Amino acid sequence: MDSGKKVSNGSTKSTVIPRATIFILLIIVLACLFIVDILTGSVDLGFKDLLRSLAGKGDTATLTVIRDFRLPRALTALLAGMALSVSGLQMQTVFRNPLAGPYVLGISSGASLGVAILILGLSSFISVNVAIIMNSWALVIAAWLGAGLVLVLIMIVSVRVRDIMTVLILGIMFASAVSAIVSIMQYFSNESLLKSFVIWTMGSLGNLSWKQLFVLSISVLAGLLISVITIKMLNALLLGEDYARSLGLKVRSARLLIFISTSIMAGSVTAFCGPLAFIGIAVPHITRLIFASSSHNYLVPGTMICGSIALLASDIISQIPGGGRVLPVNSVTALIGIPVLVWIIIKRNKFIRLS
Amino acid sequence: MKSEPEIISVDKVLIGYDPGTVKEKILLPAISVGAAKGEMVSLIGPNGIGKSTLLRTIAGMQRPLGGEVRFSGRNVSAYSNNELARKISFVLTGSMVVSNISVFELVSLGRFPHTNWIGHLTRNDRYSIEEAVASVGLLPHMYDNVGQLSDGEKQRAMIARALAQDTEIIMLDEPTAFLDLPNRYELIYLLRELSVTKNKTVVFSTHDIHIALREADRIWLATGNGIQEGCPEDLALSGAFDSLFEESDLSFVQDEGVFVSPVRTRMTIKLEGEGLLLYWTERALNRLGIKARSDAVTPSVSIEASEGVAAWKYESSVVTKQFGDIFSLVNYMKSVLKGDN
Repeated sequence: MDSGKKVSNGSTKSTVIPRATIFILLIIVLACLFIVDILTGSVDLGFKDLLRSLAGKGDTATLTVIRDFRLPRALTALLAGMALSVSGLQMQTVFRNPLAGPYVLGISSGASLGVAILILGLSSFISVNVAIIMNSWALVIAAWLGAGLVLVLIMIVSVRVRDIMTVLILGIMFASAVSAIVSIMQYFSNESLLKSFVIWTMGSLGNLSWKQLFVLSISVLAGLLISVITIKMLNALLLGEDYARSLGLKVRSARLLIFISTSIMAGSVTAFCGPLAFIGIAVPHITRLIFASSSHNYLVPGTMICGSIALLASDIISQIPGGGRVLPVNSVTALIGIPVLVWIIIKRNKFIRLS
Repeated sequence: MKSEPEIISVDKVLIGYDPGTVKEKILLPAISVGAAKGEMVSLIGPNGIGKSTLLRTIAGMQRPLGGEVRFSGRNVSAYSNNELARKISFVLTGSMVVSNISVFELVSLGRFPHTNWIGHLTRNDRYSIEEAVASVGLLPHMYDNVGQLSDGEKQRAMIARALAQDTEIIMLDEPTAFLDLPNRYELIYLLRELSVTKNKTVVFSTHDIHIALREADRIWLATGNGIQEGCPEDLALSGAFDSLFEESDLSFVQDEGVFVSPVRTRMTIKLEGEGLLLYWTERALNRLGIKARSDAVTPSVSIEASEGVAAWKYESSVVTKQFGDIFSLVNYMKSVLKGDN
């Protein structure tokens, strides 16, 4: 045996931080950020205010701020972060591509199309108050329908096509075609409608009512539940579809199940919060670095927590301007996330391998 | 003979692509081969003849265009995905793409067909994994990342994964392709070991014909005319290997069991000597196109060994020369061939 010749790294197991400890640390960070997120916003709140409100002793104004604005926003960030990051992880594994993300199937383009038809199309004919639409169920449903349309196309393709790369390329083609239609609509729409649409594309976490939050939670939890079921399949897919098949995985059904999970999560988040970019691509990579593993036993729960942390942090930072002004979340995730990733790449001198 | 069905029986199978379309392409005439339990079978043949396609077809990853493949007498298409994964494991060609998981995690993927919906590893599963890692000699690297392993170790880890799958048949497509020479031998010996000690049926394709001829119980020999099977020795005696590289000049030397590129005979000599010295001297001279013939008289090369020191003597009608090693003899013979002397 030549195993003795190589410098053995058999001791690495004991020198690495145990993964249970990593999970506990991440959960503590998550809890802290959640509280900080509730405390930040246009009205200054202290930790004491929060405690008093929880005890039911605070003044009604503070209570209202926390109950109707801060808590829904923080919960939205929590759920959306989880959903997008897990979707991104699933897509990166299924497509074996480090640049894949939750929107690689064209879900955000589909949602954009739905919203564009609603805001830019319908509103041009019927005179309605766009401001009302922006916070309405109509917007959510339009986005859902658009995402669903693209999803059905992808499903049809993925069941018929054996090669996953073909599915990826067709997905990108669909997304581009849909974006082109949206561009045409933007070109012909008037300025105020266009601005409303552009604001939607910038993403927002703070527009959800409790009812909407309830629907979002149900969708995200359903998607996460499926993603837990797919852990074993994702691990088998790490070695590629041929190996997965030889291990007895029904590759096309697995693909379909994973796509459904991703679509439910990414579709719902996009419907309620707009297309939140970057989180879904970056967080899985960061999680791989933290856990130094490609095993989905760690990565699926790990990306859930890291995704929430990332989006809560972005939301807190987006509140920095103060005085009721809020930066677009999309810009914050990119501006904060990119330096972090670049720093990691330079420090490690390489992007951690996808699998 | 046929009391119990063979573990692998390939019955008039046609392999190829795009069945039922105008592009349908059948690679080889109908193939009928088999393998018995605990046998080590080596599939050899020139590039592009369809070795990978045949292995994939047998493993049920691709449909045959005709005929049928049976495992233990049962048609492969009658097996469910999971049953098939408990019957045959596959190690694909190419280097491994995964690097960021430990050997343990990689090998545990082999338990996929045996574990529950979430992939929970029972004590039994863990035992299988450990046993698989131990039998490929990677126990010291159990918790190392696969990316830190050498190429030979990576390939052994992939074999451990197949072992953990706990199948009667292990199929490997070009398992030695990316390895250096010692690792190639080690890997083939490992496969031999598995077939003997664990009674696994090991089927592998390879370009290392010389190792295969020595170690395989059975050869599936793929040539343009179809696939012949037999034990390596029978095939060698029947002259089957001559057809292997029909398009090249390579020929199979039956009494040595090796393939050689033919050299034009440029000179015949008388060669005297014995044992190893004679063997290696003849090889060196053959390389130059100098053939030894028993009826030749001159020129002559004689090898004399006394007290462990060998000397080579070249005699022709005009000169007599002495050499202390084969290298200087060969250099001199080159000048003789050029006509300098």
